[in-house]
Amino acid sequence: MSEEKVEKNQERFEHKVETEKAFDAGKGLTEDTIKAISKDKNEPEWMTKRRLKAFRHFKKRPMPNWGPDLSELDFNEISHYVRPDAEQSDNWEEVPEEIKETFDKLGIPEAEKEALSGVGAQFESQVVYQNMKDEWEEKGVIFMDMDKAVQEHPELVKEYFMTKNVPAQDNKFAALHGAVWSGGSFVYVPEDVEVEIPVQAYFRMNQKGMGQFEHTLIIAEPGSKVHYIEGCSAPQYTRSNLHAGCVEVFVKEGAHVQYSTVQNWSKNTYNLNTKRAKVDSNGVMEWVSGSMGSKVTMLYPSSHLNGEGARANHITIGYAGEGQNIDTGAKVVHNAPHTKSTIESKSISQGDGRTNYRGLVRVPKGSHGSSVSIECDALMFDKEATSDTEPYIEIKEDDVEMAHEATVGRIGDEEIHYLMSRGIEEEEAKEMIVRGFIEPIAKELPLEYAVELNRLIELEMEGSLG
Amino acid sequence: MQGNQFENEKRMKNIRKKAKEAYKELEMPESIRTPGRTWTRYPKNIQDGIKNIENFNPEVSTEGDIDYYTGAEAAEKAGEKLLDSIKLEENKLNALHAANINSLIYIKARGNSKAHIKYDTDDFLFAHIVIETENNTDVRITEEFRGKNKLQTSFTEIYTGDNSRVNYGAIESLDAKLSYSHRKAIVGRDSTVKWLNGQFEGKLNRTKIETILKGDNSETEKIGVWYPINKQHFDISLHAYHIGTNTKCDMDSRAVSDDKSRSIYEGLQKVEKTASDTKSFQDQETLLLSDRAEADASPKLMIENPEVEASHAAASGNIQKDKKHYLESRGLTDEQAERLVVKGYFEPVMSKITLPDLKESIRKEVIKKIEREK
Repeated sequence: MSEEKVEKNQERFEHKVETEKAFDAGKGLTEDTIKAISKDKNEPEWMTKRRLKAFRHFKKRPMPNWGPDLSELDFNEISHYVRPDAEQSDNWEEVPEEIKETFDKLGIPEAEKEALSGVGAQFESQVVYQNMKDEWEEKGVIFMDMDKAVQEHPELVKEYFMTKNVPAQDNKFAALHGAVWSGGSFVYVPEDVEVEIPVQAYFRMNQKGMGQFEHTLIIAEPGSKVHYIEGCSAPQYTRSNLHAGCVEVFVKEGAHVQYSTVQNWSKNTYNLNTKRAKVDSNGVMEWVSGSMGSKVTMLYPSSHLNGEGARANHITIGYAGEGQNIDTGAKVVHNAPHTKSTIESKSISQGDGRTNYRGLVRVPKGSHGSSVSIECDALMFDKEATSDTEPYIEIKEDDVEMAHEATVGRIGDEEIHYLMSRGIEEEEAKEMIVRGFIEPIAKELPLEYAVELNRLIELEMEGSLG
Repeated sequence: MQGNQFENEKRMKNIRKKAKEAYKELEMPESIRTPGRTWTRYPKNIQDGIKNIENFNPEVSTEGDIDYYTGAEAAEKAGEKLLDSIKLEENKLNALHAANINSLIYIKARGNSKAHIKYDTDDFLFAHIVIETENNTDVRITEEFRGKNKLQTSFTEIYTGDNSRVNYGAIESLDAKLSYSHRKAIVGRDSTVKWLNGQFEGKLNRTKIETILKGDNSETEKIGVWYPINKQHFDISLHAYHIGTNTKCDMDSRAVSDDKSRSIYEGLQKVEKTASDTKSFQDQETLLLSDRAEADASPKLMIENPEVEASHAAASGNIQKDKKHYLESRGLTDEQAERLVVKGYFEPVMSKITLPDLKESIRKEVIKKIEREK
């Protein structure tokens, strides 16, 4: 057995010991646990019922039989992290060395480091947000913790939460999410209101139980505009190895929502999300996703274009380093005439990393005058790297323009040689090529994110991160 | 008719026995599934009526240095190569085929040669051909399917020597309720296999063409032309597996889909770990002529070795209105304009075809469809 393997096994072993101390081992998730979560949060009865219904579906539903290998995923470990009485040790010492180092290399201040790693329960950037909050509240914008929204805006939550967008029956992980969800954000933008400063969930990832099964619900009323940013490029340490988030977006008539996320979960995490937008006529949905971390990521943001003239743009970038499997893609259903979608997927694999684009575009009959464009590019750095592209395109309407293109290549030796002949070091040349490659996503992000993303990729490429 | 040609052939007997057993356990060929949809569903009880079916002898014409055998002799000559590259255990239809082969041809080609095989039948047809080439062979083999029946299967296995060229084409104009074709080549060093498939008749056509680029410097080219109309459902898969170093693949197919028909395409370029310096290209385009027609496509790329230059593209759309308007402004009727556009649409792939006779046959089929009474 190689040294690395021994180390990994050790890690797993230690993890288990810790779990056993916390509560009876092997019990797994039960209805009582679900009830306890709900009770702890003082939830209304309808939410408790929804949780239990979702849980029953989760129990019944088989694991997906496609995509990355999830056989090592242990659902029994989950209960430890979702039990409201579980002890939350806010101990910076527990955060793995490699992540601490990354924070240092990224130049992130001390207080934020603790917040980002999920141990500093107190960190909230009140000062930064207070001014913005006042401004938004004046316009009727609601931006709050999802748990709080259940209490304060029950009508809205009852109507929109896992009902007509992502029902718990959608897939196994959505069902799990529906049962144990906690935290996340609720965003409501009234008619014709534009939220100019991007709403960021960046500093909000630190409350009790958050970050693992967070639920984000965005309702953009007609004519409104909002840019929501989730996560950040700094690595996120989770003690659980499963992240199953859910994002539901409602883009009403003529509204515009951009949802940007850069995730960098620690490399033991299974990151399995369900993200979906329903777009009414002339609405625009933009998904910008960068997937950097995790052991396995399955992320396929989807857009249902339900109104005439609705549009969706998907930009996804995946970076799979050593031992990572980044399975991303997009799903677009054109349910109305003159709808338009563009999908741009870029992936980089290094070491024995694996990237996969998996996408489904469906144009049913009646959606005339629609157009679909799908572009996938993959770059591979190492002999061991792999990359798959698996698009599925179903066109049932003749008056549709569909174009799909994909290219895969090893990072161009010619390009590197050219840059080297100009006096640029090989490493730097590679980085320049990658930077150009991820440019489309970087330019969609606020500056501080873009800078972090670039820096992070540099660090990954130098192989200086664990 | 000569009764059962394989009665006493030992290997064939074993295959039949094995196939009959396997048939019970196996599933129908895998079909692409997306949430809520299965791209191809097979008719039930397709095997009904298959009993004591007679053997069928196709018309075979050859030129050049080529040996061909039929029936028991073909089974004997093909030996282990029969159902070696294609496995009867792969699915229910493969097993059904293996249990009922009623036309078997074995071809051994060397030097410069040519063979044309024509099947024209209104009975069940389970056609199987095994082609082996020696080193330095250059052979053209074409198969033509005509007639009308309930079920036909057509299997082709190609095993090349080194430095050989096999130029294979099949035109499927047989009006079967289910037409199931499975073709596979294992390509040796410095060798090339070219495929041409044209699908025109039949209610449900399921065709899978696979190339294993095993030898270093081996190459394949796949050209596809299909044109479903009415309620025809054509499900075509083109797969290339790169194994050797410096292998090349070029797949280029075009389809026109009219009325309530459905064109389904699955392309796969798989670059295995061992395949360095691969070049692989894939393009599929579908023209939809009716708002009730459907085009589904899944062009896949699976890359295990980064020393690769690979790309694929897929597109679908209707006749661009401006193109049609231009032609109409030149005095053509709407119908004439459409015909011209359809003819022109196939040209980029037609011009790549290097089998002149088959090219002519395909052109005729296309024209027959274009000019039919609507």
